[in-house]
Amino acid sequence: MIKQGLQLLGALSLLAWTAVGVAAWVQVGDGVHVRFSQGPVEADESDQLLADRVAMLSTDLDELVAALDANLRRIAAAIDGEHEGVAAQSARTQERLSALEAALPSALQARETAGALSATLARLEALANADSAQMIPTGEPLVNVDTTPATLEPAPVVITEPEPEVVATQVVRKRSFLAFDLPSRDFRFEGKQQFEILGDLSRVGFDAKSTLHDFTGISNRVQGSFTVDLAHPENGISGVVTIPADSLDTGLAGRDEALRVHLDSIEFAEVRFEPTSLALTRSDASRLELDGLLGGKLTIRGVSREIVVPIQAHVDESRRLTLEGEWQLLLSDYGVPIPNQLGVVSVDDEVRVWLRLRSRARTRNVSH
Amino acid sequence: MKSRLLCLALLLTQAACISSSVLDPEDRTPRETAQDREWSEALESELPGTYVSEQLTGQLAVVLRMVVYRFEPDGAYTGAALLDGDPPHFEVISGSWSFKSTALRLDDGPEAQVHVAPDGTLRLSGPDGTVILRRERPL
Repeated sequence: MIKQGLQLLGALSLLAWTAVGVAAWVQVGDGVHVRFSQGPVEADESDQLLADRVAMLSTDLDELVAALDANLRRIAAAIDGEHEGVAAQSARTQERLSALEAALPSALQARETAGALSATLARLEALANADSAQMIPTGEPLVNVDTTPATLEPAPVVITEPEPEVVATQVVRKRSFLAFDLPSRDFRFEGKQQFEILGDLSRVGFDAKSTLHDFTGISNRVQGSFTVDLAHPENGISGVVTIPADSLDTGLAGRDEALRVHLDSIEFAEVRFEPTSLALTRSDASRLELDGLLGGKLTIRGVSREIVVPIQAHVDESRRLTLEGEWQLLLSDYGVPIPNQLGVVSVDDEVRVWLRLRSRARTRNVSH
Repeated sequence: MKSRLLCLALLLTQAACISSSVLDPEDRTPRETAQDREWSEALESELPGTYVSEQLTGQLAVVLRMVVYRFEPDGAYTGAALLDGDPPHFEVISGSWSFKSTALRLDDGPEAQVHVAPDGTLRLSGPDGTVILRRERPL
């Protein structure tokens, strides 16, 4: 029994010793690397290879730096050259601009002349197409052609505000439904324009009060013109509007005669208004309307006084500029005797004067 | 004293016969005659004749001062226009007119709608504006 126990113990011990050995081998085997070499010569070759590779990389790097340096120098040179080119081009542009500015007055004048010649040419073509030679009086020129073009001897021209679109509209024409080639142009506020009063479509009048009844005097014989830039009236307005002093009609012949006597219409034949300023209080260029205060000199019976008249202006459907305004004045301020009959019937010293003017803008711009 | 009272009485009597004649502000602006006509669509047979412009409205009114037309029954026409300028000047044209429905076409230009008033006045309306043409009897 003991013998069998000892054998078993011995076998188990042998197995345990073997297992320990195997476990130790497994644990230590992964961490141990065994290299076989023939001596120190092999280690020197590896270092030499590494040194060669490093040297080769260094050489490549030097070559790369040199190439980059050359390229960067070329780029810098190119940038410098381009900069010089831009500077030279800028200088040339500046020179051309200066030359154009110097030539601008002559060019504008030449363009104006060209516009007039084009209009003349269009008229000649229209006349030729009309095939109506009998309508042209013989011996007279077909059209008035200015044969002294300004381009040959440019006269000094003072251009305060170039209006290229106006010149263009003198040339561009469009066939209308009336079969005439009409300049394509519409009313505008911009630019200094001359407006002519349309006498047949204008009125100036006054409302007076007397002891017995009130009455109105009207003149339909309004004449005159004025020049203004409606977009910039602060630049000034000039002109004159007149009515014959004996044209005022009150509806009663006797009263009209008395009025002529009081106005001394023989000695002072006209009532005269000269506008000198226009201050806008409202302006709507899109609707072609404006309100303002029109200042000027009013002369009645030889006596002149400065007045300011509130006015409203608009462009009507016939493209006419209409002006409406009214103000109070004292007859005595102008030396007009107050009408009085027998000390009983008299006219008030204060009368209300009103105007309704229709005017037409002339085609050409005014440049003075 | 009696004579003064008599004069005053006479003046008052005279004044009573004279109504106030102050013009209504609405009537201060002179009216244009073309405003009050009744218009109807025109027939082709109503066109031949001689016409003078009475009113121009629209964009064409900026440069046109007046126009005169003569429409012949055979389809020919001639016209003259007074154009604004420096100085104003006439242009004369001639050609042929055609009428379709209520539209008048001069040569190959744009169409114009035509209306007529009882007195023979024509109203031509086109893209550039409107023209009122009064019928005339040339001497």
